[in-house]
Amino acid sequence: MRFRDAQFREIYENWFEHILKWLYAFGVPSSDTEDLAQEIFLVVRRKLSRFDGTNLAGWLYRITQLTVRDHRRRSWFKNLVVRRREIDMSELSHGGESPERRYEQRENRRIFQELMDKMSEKRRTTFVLFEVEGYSGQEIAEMHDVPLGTVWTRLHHARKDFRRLVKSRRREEQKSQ
Amino acid sequence: MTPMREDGSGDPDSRAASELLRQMSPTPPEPEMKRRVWAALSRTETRAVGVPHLLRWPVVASAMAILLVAGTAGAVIARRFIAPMLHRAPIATPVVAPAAVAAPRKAPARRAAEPVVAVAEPAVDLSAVEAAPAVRQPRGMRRSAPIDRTVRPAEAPAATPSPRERAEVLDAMIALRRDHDAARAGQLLDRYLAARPRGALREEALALAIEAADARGDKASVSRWARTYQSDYPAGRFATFARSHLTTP
Repeated sequence: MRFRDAQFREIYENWFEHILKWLYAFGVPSSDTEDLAQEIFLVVRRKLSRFDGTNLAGWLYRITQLTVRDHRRRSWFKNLVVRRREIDMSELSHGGESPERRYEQRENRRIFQELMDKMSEKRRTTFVLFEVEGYSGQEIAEMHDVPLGTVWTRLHHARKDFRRLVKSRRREEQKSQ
Repeated sequence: MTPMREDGSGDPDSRAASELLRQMSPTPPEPEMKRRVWAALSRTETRAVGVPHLLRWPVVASAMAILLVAGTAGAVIARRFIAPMLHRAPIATPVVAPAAVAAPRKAPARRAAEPVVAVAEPAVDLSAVEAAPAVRQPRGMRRSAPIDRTVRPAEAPAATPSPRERAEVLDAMIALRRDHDAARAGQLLDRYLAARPRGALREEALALAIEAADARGDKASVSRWARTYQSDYPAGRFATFARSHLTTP
């Protein structure tokens, strides 16, 4: 039991930041990040005794993925009753930047989130983890529990999607001007 | 593979996409959040370990409780109200139709060899007696012959027999017909007739008592019960049967 507590503590220390990044890649609003992180680690603690010890990243990623899905289902019901204002990542303060710079960053993040929402989950997570969070292809392959080639294929398609979405957005902006 | 943000070449749309990606910074570390979540996890530690899954589903637990209560209530209602009502429902009076009335047996030679089997026995209609709740139909028991409707009892039973009463007579009948234990059948019938001088099944019990006494060769008892029957039920259904035993030497 004590060993398992120590093991859990170690996982928490080493993987907390990763899980936040994965939550961002899944498009979870920052207002829910803390609750979800807690929920994920509760699951980790409960299931730790059954973990076979291989591919810790993949195991944690899968728990994150399932917890997010469950959270979305619950949120859908909750939003039927209470309309919640979701705060996205842009509302996080990022140091002492000027208000204009912060506004610009916030706007860019909002646009980025909008575009990401139009992509499939697999492509979206692969794209965000590689392009934004800076994970390597090998790391993503381990997390997703897929061959490296699959990651590159998903990334290739995700980039095409992203370019297409940026292009159509620019067209719409040009039309509106 | 080179990250897209580092690729500044290509058409204006690709450049715009790369530019947008350059604006995105990785998720920053959240030490304060990390500390808060750990504190929350420590608080829930004792609760999370070993908590049955069911307790985290209050709806399921409530439903189970409701089912349990409803089931118990149903069982109590059935036991207290429905079962007594069923027992009180009118039950057809057991009819003991003596086979000997329609076709009296005449097999003296066989009787000498097999005294128990050869006795001219009243065929008892078990349909009503079987309704006794605690007594099951014994396997291998003979069914009665069709009742002779032309011979109706002059004296109707005093009342509807109670389940206990039916069980007592049925026990005696099982002892006599299935177990061929005429002594026990006689005891049971003696007890019944003594305890219930106005019992609803008295007529049937008397007929069976004659049969039991005859089976065990107790001629005194045969005569005594036959006389009792004749005096109590002179036009009874088993009058002929009783008379035949009175005349038997």
